[in-house]
Amino acid sequence: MSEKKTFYRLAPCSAYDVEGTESWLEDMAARGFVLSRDGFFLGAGIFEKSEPKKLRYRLEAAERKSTLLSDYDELPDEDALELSEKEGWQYVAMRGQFFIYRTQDENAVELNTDPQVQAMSLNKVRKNVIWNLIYWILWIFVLIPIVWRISPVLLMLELGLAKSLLTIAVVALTLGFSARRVVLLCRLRKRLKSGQAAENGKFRCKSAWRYWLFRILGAGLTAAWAIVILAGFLNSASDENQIRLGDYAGELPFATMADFAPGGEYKREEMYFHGSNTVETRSNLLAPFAAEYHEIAEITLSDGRKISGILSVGYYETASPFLARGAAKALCRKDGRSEYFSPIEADVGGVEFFAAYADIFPTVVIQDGCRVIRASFSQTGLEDALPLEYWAGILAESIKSQ
Amino acid sequence: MPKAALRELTETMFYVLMAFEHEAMCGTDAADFIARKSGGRVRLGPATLYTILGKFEKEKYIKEIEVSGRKRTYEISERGHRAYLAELERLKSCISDAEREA
Repeated sequence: MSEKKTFYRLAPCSAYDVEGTESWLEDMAARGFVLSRDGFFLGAGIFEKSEPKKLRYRLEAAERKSTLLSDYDELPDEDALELSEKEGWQYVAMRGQFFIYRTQDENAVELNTDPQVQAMSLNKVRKNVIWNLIYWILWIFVLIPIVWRISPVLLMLELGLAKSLLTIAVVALTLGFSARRVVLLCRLRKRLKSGQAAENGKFRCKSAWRYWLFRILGAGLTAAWAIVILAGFLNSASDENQIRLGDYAGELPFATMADFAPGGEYKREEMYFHGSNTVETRSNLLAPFAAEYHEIAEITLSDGRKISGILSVGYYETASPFLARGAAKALCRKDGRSEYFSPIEADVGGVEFFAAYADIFPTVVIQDGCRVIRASFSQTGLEDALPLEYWAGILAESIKSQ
Repeated sequence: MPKAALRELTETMFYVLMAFEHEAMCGTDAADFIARKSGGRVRLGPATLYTILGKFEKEKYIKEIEVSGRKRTYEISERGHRAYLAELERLKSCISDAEREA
């Protein structure tokens, strides 16, 4: 027995556009393409070639969800199958959360004869799509920022303009697709509830190009975003971008431990644990210069006091003061969630933003103009220690815009 | 326990309750009964009938009493009987209002 040749055709409307899907399948049948029992795969209908046929297709809300790859999952209840077959309707396949039935019998009673009852049958699917939208909103705006402590401003500064715009586009499309499903189902349900029957029999998918455009755009942007984010993650996880302080030829735009001892002596302690005495710089349109700096050193002040310690700095030079202020606040908020956080009363004056607190080690966040610095200074010497306002003042002075 | 009773019954829902009020039967027999009883005026689409059966079962208006292969037989419950009578009263009063007006 020879196998029938199958044809794949991308659906011109959402799986949640009930009347659109019905009309499109009827239009395809009239052109000699009959939906195969394999149904749909990755948004494309699988058709078999036949003589042009006048078929009626109807969608019925399913209780079960379809799988990720294939819309075909399980059969409707046996009871539903028997009732439908008796009236001349055959079950064909699934699309999204709908069972697809068809009949060639012109006299067969409509699958749904009571619009208000049909509206009732959509309740479960409608709840599912509303929950899906709530789920995305919760993930994007609540869970990801809280659980992973991601601040939108800091994320934008890390990603840069192009990647930030790509992320915003992917988020907008994800929410847009989810919201569109809700709108489609709520509109249909509202019409049915008012007693108006579903519109059958006329091809409604005229704006197919718009649907395809958004589908292709969505798939393309999501794939590009995934690749870019994964590459960025792998890049940040590697030590390749870290430069040992002794090898760094550039000039740092902020004060370091050497500046804490003007006229004194400075000696870097070459300890080779992960990330010690290294600097890593980045640059993008939103943050033309950003650096992560870790230094272990001993300084001798001009009065002979010896100070040894570890200075860790995160520094951003942003494209606008607004971004710098946002970053400063976000850095404080991020540290504020730490169980070791406790505020420290201190002020250095002359800068637009200053905050001091202990997050295990004494830490300051300072912003002035487009520059923002977060520095934590752990002093390991047993005898002498520099007061926070002293070293924070030197850092503040170094980043002042004028 | 089901929540509050259905706020209103549509015509087809009322006919389905009428079928089970008549006697216990399966879905296809209920569809035949309704077509006969209404002289062919009310025809129930299979999806409509299936949705109503599911809803009534959930609301405890009917209960499944026998399963034989693909055939499921239901009977009306006390709750379903009360809902049927309440709707019948409402319809009667509609008719009587209309007759007084005529």
